[in-house]
Amino acid sequence: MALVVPVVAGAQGTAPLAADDAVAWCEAIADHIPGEPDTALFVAASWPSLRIERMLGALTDGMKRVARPAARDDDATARLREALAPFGLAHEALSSGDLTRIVRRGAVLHTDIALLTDGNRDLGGGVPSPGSAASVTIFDGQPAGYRRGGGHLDVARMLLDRIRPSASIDPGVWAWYRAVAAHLMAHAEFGELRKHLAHGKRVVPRDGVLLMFDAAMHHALASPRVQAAMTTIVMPPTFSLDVKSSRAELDEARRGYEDALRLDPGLVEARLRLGRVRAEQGHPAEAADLLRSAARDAGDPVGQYFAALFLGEQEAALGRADEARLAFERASALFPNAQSPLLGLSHLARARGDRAAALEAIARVMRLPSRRDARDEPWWDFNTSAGRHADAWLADARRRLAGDAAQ
Amino acid sequence: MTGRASFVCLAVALAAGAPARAQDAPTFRSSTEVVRVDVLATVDGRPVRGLGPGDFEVTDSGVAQVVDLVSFEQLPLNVVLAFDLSESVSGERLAHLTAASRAVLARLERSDQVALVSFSHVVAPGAGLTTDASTIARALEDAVPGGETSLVDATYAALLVGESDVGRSLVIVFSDGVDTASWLQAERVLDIAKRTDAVVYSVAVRSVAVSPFLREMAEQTGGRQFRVDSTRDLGAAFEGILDEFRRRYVIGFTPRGVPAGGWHPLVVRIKGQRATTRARPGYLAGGG
Repeated sequence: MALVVPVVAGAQGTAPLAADDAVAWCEAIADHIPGEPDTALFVAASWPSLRIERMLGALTDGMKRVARPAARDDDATARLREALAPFGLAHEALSSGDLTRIVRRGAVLHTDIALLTDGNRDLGGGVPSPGSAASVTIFDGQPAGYRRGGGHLDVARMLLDRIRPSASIDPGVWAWYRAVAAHLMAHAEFGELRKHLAHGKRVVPRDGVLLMFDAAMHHALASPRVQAAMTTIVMPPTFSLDVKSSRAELDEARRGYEDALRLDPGLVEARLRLGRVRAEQGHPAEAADLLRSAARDAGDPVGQYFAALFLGEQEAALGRADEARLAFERASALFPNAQSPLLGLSHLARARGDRAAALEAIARVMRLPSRRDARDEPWWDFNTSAGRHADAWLADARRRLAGDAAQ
Repeated sequence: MTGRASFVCLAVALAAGAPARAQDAPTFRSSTEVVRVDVLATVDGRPVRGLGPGDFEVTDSGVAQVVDLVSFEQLPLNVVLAFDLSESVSGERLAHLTAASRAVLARLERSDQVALVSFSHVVAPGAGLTTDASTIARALEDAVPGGETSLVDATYAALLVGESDVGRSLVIVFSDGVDTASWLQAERVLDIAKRTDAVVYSVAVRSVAVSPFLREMAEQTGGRQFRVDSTRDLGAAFEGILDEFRRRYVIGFTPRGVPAGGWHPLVVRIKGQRATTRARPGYLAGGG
């Protein structure tokens, strides 16, 4: 099938008809290879969500015309019939205007626009206009610019809402909400993540993983990275930051992790992070119990590292120096170029008056490579690392949504 | 979110202090028995000279102590430069920092040692204690700022570097921001500072938020916090710190009549003079 040309304005300078958009959109969906930044992505990349909603109305009407015998097709219906052919829609779906198969793959298209090409949301030195959705970018505790809110993830959510009989019972939708949450978490897109989770919790209300991401977001908002910037950011008129104090965000994080574990007690990541929150809230015994359990069950090296590192600190706080040292050594063995376990070992020794051991651990830090990419230190990414499986999860969600639809 | 930092590490092993210097060790050094306190005594901002043990009035936990030893401008220094080389310290700021460091290096005595702990989120000691100041200058010239800020971790490392060899330990911390990436907790590093003899001076640019940790660290170690209007003023600030530190007395006493462990509040006064003193407000005993 030929690729659709971008539709921004008609040849006569008029706005494109919704029916033309419907054809172009269906062709783009069919042409798009999930997860690839192909040319099909650019067809709808500049379309605002209103235009897509209008197009969906035209598509529904067009499907009902396509359900009639082809002999009665006008030119527009014939083109739409051809564009819909790859979806293999049953007559019943066409006649009822059931968009399920199309919107599943459409959601993949718009997700990929958002994640693979949506880099034009940065406002540079500019500020967002009043009334618009926006987020602020922070680097090294300082505001570094603004980003427009909205975009193609809004569109993807709107499309998935149209799944029949219900998005809530569709495993592909569950997988998609988790995967996109993981991606937004991994990229520290907390503004978008908040919106995504608010919608996601309505669609799939009893998903422990989404609750865990919600808690992890509050946990990240409580961190010095974010809280440090709160004192320096000057917001444009009519905007305010949607971030509470560190203590309040930590409380929300704790509640969120506990809710997630009530729904899914097997969520090791939630147990690990709840352990960290309780440590930050000054409850070392409770934290250590959670972290010991997480250390036993963590399935990947990063999770094991965090559990050991955090446990080392709590064992030290409980006066269990030998256990603390073993935990820090375990973390160091998992990531030999990480500085945090060595700093932990050094501090542990120094606090006990063992200057030689403290200095030896610092000397080990000195011998580490000085370049960050050679350091391989998971701690620096702890606030976003709940989303560390995003790529695999996204691939799975794409497969479920696009693959199922193609069957 | 993720920054990059890369700079050449000219590190030498911390434990390898200059052997010749160790043989020239000063006559006293802190131990579990002797408490050493750096004291700045001034009248109208001018240092008071010529004081002896009998001129100091020291109370430890409210109990008067006998000052055994006093030293003034006699002990070699261990100067540790702990410099924030995160993303925000690039371009002109780095040039100013490098020039300011050169000015300090030029004022060191031959017996003084100096070390560099550079940090972004990466704590990367640029050079361990050395009497060869050119090592530090070269490390700074090779520095490439980038990344976030592990201020607490780096200050801890600097404290340990400072006490890794005999001498008076002066830690100069420059940072233009707040901590965003440290693993160690600020209060735990402050506890360590209360156990060491190091004096921490911090320098920050006035226009940016200053870490409360740095202010507390300076207070708890008897140092001072400097604010400069611009990084252009760093040279004057660093030189001022070095001069002030040299004009401090080091006094030593063996605590008597006080509990062995825990926090020991200290008060240091000069007898019979309206001198102002600056010294650490106390020390943590036990644990070395």
